[in-house]
Amino acid sequence: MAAIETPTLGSGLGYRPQFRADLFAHREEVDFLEIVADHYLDAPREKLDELDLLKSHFPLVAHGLDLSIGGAEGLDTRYLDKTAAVIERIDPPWWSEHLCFTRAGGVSIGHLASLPYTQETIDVVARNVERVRSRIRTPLILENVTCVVRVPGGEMEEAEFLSRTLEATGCGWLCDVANLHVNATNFGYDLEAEFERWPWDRLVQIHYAGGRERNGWLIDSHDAATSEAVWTLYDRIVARAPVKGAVLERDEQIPPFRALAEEVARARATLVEHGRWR
Amino acid sequence: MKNFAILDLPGPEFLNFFGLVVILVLAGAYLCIRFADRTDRRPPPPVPQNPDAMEVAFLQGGVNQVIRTLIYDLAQRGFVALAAEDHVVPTEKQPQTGELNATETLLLEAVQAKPKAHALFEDRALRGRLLEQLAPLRAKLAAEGLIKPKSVKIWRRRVQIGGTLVIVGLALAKIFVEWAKGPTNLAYLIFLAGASVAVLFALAYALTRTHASRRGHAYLEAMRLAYGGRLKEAVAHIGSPGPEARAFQGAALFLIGLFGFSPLKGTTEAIFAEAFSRGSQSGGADCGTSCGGSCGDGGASGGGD
Amino acid sequence: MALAETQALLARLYTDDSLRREFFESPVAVATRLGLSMHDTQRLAAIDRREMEAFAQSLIGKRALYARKALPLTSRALGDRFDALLREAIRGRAQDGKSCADAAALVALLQERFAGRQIEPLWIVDLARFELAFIDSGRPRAAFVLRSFHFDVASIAASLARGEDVSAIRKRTFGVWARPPRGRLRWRLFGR
Repeated sequence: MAAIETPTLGSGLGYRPQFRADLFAHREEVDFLEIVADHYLDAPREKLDELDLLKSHFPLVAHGLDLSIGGAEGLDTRYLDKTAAVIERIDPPWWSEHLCFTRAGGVSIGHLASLPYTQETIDVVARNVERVRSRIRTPLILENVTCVVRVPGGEMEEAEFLSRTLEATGCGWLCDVANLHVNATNFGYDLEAEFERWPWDRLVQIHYAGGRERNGWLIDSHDAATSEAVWTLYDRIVARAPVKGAVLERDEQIPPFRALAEEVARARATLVEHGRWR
Repeated sequence: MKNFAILDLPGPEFLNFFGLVVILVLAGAYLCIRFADRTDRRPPPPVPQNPDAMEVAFLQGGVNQVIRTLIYDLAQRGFVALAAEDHVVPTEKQPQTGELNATETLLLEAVQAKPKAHALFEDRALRGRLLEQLAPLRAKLAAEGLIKPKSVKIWRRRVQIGGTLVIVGLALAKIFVEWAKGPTNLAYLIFLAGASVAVLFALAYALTRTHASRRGHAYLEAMRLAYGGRLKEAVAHIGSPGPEARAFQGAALFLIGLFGFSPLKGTTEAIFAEAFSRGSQSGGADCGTSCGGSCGDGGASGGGD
Repeated sequence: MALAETQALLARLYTDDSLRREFFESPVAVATRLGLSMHDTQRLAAIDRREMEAFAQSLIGKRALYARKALPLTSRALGDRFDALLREAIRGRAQDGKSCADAAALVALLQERFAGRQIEPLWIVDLARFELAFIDSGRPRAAFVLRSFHFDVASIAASLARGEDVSAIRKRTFGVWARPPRGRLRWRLFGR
């Protein structure tokens, strides 16, 4: 049984204004769009018009960056309200956030920080998700993040932490394939051998992207074409899990739209091959 | 007439009342014209993937915008040029058979006489023939509710006549009553009545001067939002060496219809903006509401993770 | 594990260079000072310094990236100097959640340098203030921004946007930016 009952959306693209014109000129090549909700919080009229325009031409899902769902201090009510307003405006079948914390002790980190893999953290996330649900009825799915700093004191591995968190919260999973690959490479674990430990039955959406290597570390920088290693993993995941949508993320060094459309087409072909999309 | 107490009010108090009536007439005129166009009850059609330059130009600015767009296209393709004192002149280049369509041929014929840019807009014969050729396009846009419905014109006439009757009628009634009492100074009332009628006509003009209906405006606005990025790219190519210099050629020509010549200001093709702004008041949409370089989203467009 | 205290300490370690240095020299002293129990302190002391530094550097890189996006023409004009100047401008300042705050800090630094004639070209300050005006007027509430410039900032911006060399002209210029609440931004420059 799927983690959430929603329509299947196909092969999509993370929307960035830089390729807006090409997107509209080639819109049959993209099945749906993922918008970054944070770009429309407190938005001026131009941005809201853009959102309405996207909504009238594409199925949309929303992706949040700064809810800090794993923050032990609780959620920022104002931020939650603003996010709720964006989600109400576009009425997506689901929306997503990162399983991480982004602020604590009055400090905004400005990036996604890994959580300690403990039961206490799972309880905090479950509490925060309940709070979100009381404000936003649209199903929330949680994304695995790139781990740069492993917080000592973990009581379990990432796969178990994710499984138990999704179980405790009832959320679906947004599997960032690139993040899985980056973590496995940087910390030297065998994703192939541990493949079945991940909560594939809860998977709703996929993110895939390209990154780069810096000082011996793989970085999930979204500034390159998706690597073959990530594609291989993507293919295996699509074959295994009930994917409802796959989204290409590209934020920097954005290539000609044709290159993005080719990646989206490749992702779609795998979805079709495994009966996940028409 | 003497039974109307209002008309016996002293001058300043009557003027207050008169002013109130004028405001009500103007508000009524606005509402009547506004609600004569109910095309925005339907959402605009989807933004086309390959916008048609003539359709966009006609919707944006009627025949004038079609003339601008065609002249610019013919100039890009080397058939016409802008000469001194805003004259539009043919070049030595002759089109191959079938190279130009009927509308383009019509414009090319019109510039054989080397007219000034504004003369093209005033050439009634040219406008008539262009309208004839654009009739199917016009019918298609009208069927989609994208150009102003006839009811707008009808209501404009009604509010102009009705409003003028109310304003002038009230003023004349007061003048009649005051004259019956003896000599008095009514110059200010006459001036106020004249100015109010002028404002009424100006308002009616302003509300109806554009070609597009409210649905059509929403459609154009959506197109500007969707394809505005292409305009910046195209303008950046102007003056560059090689084929890219013809920045608004082919599929990009609709941008000239959509945005007019204003974006050409500050480029090597500013001559079009200058010649045609002297030639016509409606130079197309002004795109000066955003900054070319920096003012996209204030740095908020960092990506997701 | 006291999660709230642990996260608060981590957030500060990620964003505060000097605290991070101090922590790796004397983790117990720092952690206990910031409210962690001895048990949690000992656990957190095992954190990998290399991982911590990598994360902290990526945060700085991200802030620089956002600042470059906020001030694209200034970034283009400053070239390689942009990141160094930004790092100087935001040194010791944690991100406050608003990506434009770092851009504003950089503009303030450029203005200081301009006052001391320590920055070249001189028009860079006008250009940065011009770009910052769009950010300032981009807030959701009504905005009304007035700026005066020493140079013809419009032509400087246009030249840079087209990738051309800038031949800046000293010309007193005034700019007005206005936006009703959630409305459209209108702006205009007036030259004297």
